[in-house]
Amino acid sequence: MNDVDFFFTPPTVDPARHRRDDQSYSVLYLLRREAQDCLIGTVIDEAAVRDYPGDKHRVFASTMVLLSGIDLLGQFLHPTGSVEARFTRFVTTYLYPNDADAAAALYAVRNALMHTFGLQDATRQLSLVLDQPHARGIQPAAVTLLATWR
Amino acid sequence: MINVLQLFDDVTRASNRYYRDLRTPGEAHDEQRRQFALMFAKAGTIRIGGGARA
Repeated sequence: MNDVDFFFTPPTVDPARHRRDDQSYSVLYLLRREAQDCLIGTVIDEAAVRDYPGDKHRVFASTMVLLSGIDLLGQFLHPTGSVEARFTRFVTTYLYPNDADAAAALYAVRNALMHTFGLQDATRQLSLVLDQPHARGIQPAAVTLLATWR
Repeated sequence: MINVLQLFDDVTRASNRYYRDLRTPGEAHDEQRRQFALMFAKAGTIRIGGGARA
């Protein structure tokens, strides 16, 4: 298997089958499994996660893993740029094409959450919106990170 | 407005688009493949077992 296919191994592949002889794993493969493990406590086809009928939890940690994923993919897409350039370039190329404002807002969320586990930003109002009233605990699944970029 | 479930789907789709581009033959994505190879060699894997090390 070439390096590209190895790196993008679907998370549902058994770790023992994915692992190379030198005991190495793709960072992205591990990250994709971690995101699901945080959010739904198991690993299934990514297309089915949104409608997964079980509990969803660890929303903040799950969001942080996803934001790390953007950092990781941005690093591979644009290795020589600044952290911000790598992050926003991946967002505007593959996540929200040509939406520089969305990229800037997402980067603000990334900085606030990853650096201080908070939502403090000097220029944007970031807040949490809880819109799943029947979820258990204080981290319901549909926590929405509201970044005012529009 | 960013919903974590939506973000999960969006990031997954974005990753798949990037993967598709890397696998698309032709000069258009040669530079991406070159950058990918560079980074993969540096930070593409984590070795676990017998003492985890990156």
